[in-house]
This record gives sequence, C-alpha cells and structure tokens, in this order.
Amino acid sequence: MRRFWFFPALVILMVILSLFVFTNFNDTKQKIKNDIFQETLQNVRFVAKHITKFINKNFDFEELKKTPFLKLKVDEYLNSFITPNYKNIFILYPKNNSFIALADGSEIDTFDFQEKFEPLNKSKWIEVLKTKKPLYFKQDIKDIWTTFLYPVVRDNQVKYILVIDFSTKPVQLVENSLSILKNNVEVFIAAIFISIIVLIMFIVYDYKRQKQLTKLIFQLKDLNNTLEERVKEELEKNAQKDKQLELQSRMALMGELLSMIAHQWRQPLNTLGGIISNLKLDLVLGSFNKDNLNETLNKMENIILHLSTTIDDFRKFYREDNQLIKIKISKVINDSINIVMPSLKVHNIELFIETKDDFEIKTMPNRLKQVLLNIIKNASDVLIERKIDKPYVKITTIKEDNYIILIQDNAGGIKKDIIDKIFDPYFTTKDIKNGTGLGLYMSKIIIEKLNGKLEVYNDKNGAVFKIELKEIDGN
Amino acid sequence: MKTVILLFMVVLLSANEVELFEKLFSEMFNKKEIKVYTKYKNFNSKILKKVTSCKEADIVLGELNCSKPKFVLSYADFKNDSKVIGAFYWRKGRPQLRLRKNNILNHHLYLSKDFSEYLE
Repeated sequence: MRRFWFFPALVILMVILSLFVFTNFNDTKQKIKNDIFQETLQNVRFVAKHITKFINKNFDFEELKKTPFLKLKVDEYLNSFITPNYKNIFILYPKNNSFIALADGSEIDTFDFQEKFEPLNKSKWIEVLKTKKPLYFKQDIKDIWTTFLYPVVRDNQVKYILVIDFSTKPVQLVENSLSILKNNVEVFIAAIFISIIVLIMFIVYDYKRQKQLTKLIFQLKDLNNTLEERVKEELEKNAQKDKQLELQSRMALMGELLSMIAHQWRQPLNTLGGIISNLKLDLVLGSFNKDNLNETLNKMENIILHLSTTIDDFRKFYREDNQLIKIKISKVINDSINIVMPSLKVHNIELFIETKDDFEIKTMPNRLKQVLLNIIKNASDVLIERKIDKPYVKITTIKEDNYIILIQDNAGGIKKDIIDKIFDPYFTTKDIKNGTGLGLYMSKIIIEKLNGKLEVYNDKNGAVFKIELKEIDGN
Repeated sequence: MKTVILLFMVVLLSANEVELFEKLFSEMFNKKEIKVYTKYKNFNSKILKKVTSCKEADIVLGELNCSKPKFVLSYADFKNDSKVIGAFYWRKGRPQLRLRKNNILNHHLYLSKDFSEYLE
C-alpha cells in the first residue's frame, strides 16, 4: 500500500519539477532578453538626448525648416552617430496630419529636403504627438530593428521627432545562444515526460496486478475457509459411494449365495422327496414297518440337519464382520469351498487345494471368504463360458515375507486389453443379468482394507489372482 | 482606410507591391482589367494586364515616355515629373504611397476615401 502511494507522488513531483524547470528557464530567458534590451534602449535614449540637446543649442528650428544648407549640416552631425547598431537617424516634424523630413543621418536612401514621409504604425507616431513622451516599437516581429521616437517639445508642442532605428541584435544573439540551452531543457523535459508516461503505465500495470493479486488472495482465503468443509464433504460422498458400492456388491453376493444354496439344497431335497415317496408307497402297499420307519426318520433328520447346517454356513458367511480374529488359512479356504463346491461339481470343475503353509493369519474371515468366493465364482463362470476341457480351479497358499494365496484356473487367461481394467468399478465381461462389475472392485477394496494387495496376471493355463496379506497389528 | 493600411502591411510583409497596384488602379479605372504599360519585371496579376505599347495602355507604371496617366516607382521621378498621378517607393525600409489629386482628376480618374490620406 505504501509503495502504491509512492509512485503517484513521484509522478506529481516529476511534473512539478518539469514545470519548474520549464517556467524557470523561460523566465530567466525573458529576464536576460529584457535586461539587454533595456540596456540598449538606455543607450539609445542617451544618444537621442545628446543629439536633440546639440541641435537645440546650435540650430534654430524655424531656420532649419527653410534652409537646405542647414539640413546638410545636421545630416552630417547625425551621420556621425550611424553605426551597425543605428541604421537610421532622422528628424521629422508634424504637418497637416503628416510628417515632413527635416534632417537625415543616412548616406543612402536619404530624405530630400522637406520630403513628405508616411510612417508605418502611424498610430504610435500620433500617440507620441499627443503624449509628448518617447516611445519605441518593433518594426516587424521577426525583424531585429526597433524604432525609437523621441519627441522634442517646446511651448507645450512637439516641434519635431528624432527617429532612431536601432538594432536589437544582441537580444537576438542571446536568444539564439539560449536556444541551444532551450533545446537541452526541452530534451530534459521530454525525457521527464517520457519517464512520467512509463511510470504511469507501470503504476496502472502494478495497480491492476495488485488488484488481481488481492482478488486471488481473497479467493484463496475463501477456498481455504471452505476447503476443510469441502474435503469433509467429498470424503463423506466417497464413503457414501463406497458404502453404496459395497451394498450393491453384497446384494450381488447374496444373489450368488442364493444360487449356491439352491445347488446345495437340490440334492438333499431330492433325497428327502424320494424318502417321502417311498414312505407313501410303503403306506399304500402296507409294507410299512417300525424299523424301516425309524431308519427313514433318522435319514430325514440327518438331511434336515444338513440343510440347516448349510443355511447356518451361508448365514455366517453373509454376516458382516469387522473384527480381526486369528484363523487358519485352511479354515477360511474350506469354508469358502463348502459354499461353492456343489456349484463347481455340477459343472465338473475340479478344485485343487495346495496349502503348502497352513499359516495362521489375523484377518476378517468373512471378508476374506467373500473375496475368495468371488474369485472362484468368476473362474467357474469363465470355465463354463469357454467350455474348457477338464476345467479346474487351484488354490495355493504360501508363506513368505507376507501371506500369499494364489487362485489359478485353466480358462486361458484374461485378455491383455482388459486386464488393467478388471478392478475398475462397473467393469464386467458378463452380460447384465450375471454381472454387476463390482465383485473384483470390492474384492480389491476389501484386500486393501486388510492391509494387503490383490493382483492378477496370466500364466500359461489361465488367470492367476494373487492375494498378498501382511501381518496386521492390533485387535 | 483600414483596407489600405492592411494593404500597406501586406506590402511591407510580403513586398508584393502588385497587390497594392491592383487595388489602387482598379479603383481609379473602375474596370475588371486594367492594361498597364510597364517595364516592371515581376508583374503577375489577374487584374492588371501588362501591355507593350503606350497606345493600348490604360496607365503607365514607371518612368516611360507616354501621355497616359503615369504612376512612378521612385521619389526622384515623382519629384521631377509634376504630371505623374502618384508614386510608390520605399524610404527607410517603409513603403511610401504618394498621390496627386489634381493630376488624378485631370485624367478623370476616381479614388475612394480610403486613399484620401495619401492625396496631396
């Protein structure tokens, strides 16, 4: 802000300085010219006084008007004053609103005796006759010559006027000399004005920049004020979105589970149906006995128990767990397999489990099962879709620095152009009925939440999903 | 009067005497074109037409042998020839116009009041 006021003040100062230099120069120039002119005029006055004094003393005015001889004498006297600075010295007297020459000091262009003379600027001459006071005026603005009229008064009347055309060349010379200085002053002032213009441009530019900067600072402050709120808002939105996606994913999972339950229940329900039919037949045929009934009821009880266990398994699986518990990896895998196995068997898909290291891991089992199930189900779908001969899914667990679970199939692998996109939300290769495009996305999110990594690559037989889990600290 | 003073100023500043002659002669003769018998060299005018003989001239400009109204260009000619109607010459760097009323009237020429100051 202080800097902003500094520049306008500097501009004003420069303008004042320029005006001061300019006016000061002009005043000085005028004063020098005036002084020189006044000095010259003073000399002319002195000469005029001296001449008139001499003429008045030595000549009679009336005689002079009549006698050409006397004119010659006065002419001679006046001629003695002719110098380069005094061009014309002559005497005239007024007669009938006109002027008649009385004497003339010039050697050329000399007045005749009693020659009539018509002056320029006649009003000035008339003024001299009226005021009876000396007067001077410039013959021409550009000319160096000035005319001095010196009236000689007797009996309160102007008897004659002594006219001296004197040079103001010294004034001209001073003016010429000063013109060099004037040029320098003009250059100096021009430079100052250019500087002022540049400075004004700079001020305008700076002002605009400052304005922009202030605006930006305000915007930034405003942004900072709302940033936290916006971040919070965005995070909430993201959480909401994740929740939504998770919900969608779980709904899809539920669909999968229902399909699997259907597979699981089909066999026991068929068996149960068969037993009931046999019982009905025994009842009709009368071959019904107590031992058979007891055996049949035991069978039925076992089947119902199996169905109930299956439901419990599914219920447990679907239950959300957010607690970390230590569990053997084989347990997690087996629980997942139990659910998916009937579905695999229907399509003759073999499942190989290779638990080289049956490590214990601190994890959220249901979440991990959900991931395994999703990957196995995807593999199963592709194997069926591609009608692979001797289809299989292989699960391998390895304990290295981290805990690794590999899920491989022999479906031929994932195409290169989509392998980078399969973890994207809503990306699916299945039709709209069978895929939401959220399974692998949610799997990746779950594994990352479990402080792990989910990757995919192709080997010579098919796709390989690699789950890499780290040891989790805390409860 | 003012016109003539202005003309005098013009003559003084531009040294174009022809303009003064145009004004003066066109008044005297009351004609759109005035034939001037002269040896004057710088004579470029729309009103004044330069002729080469006295017979066809309306006026003579300069000291030439001719009976027509004569207007001279020096004080000496004006002084020595009493028949001239007027003169224009420079004295002490100032233009001088002199007109002889009687001679002008003798030639039945007219002159406005603008020039009365220069009549004698």
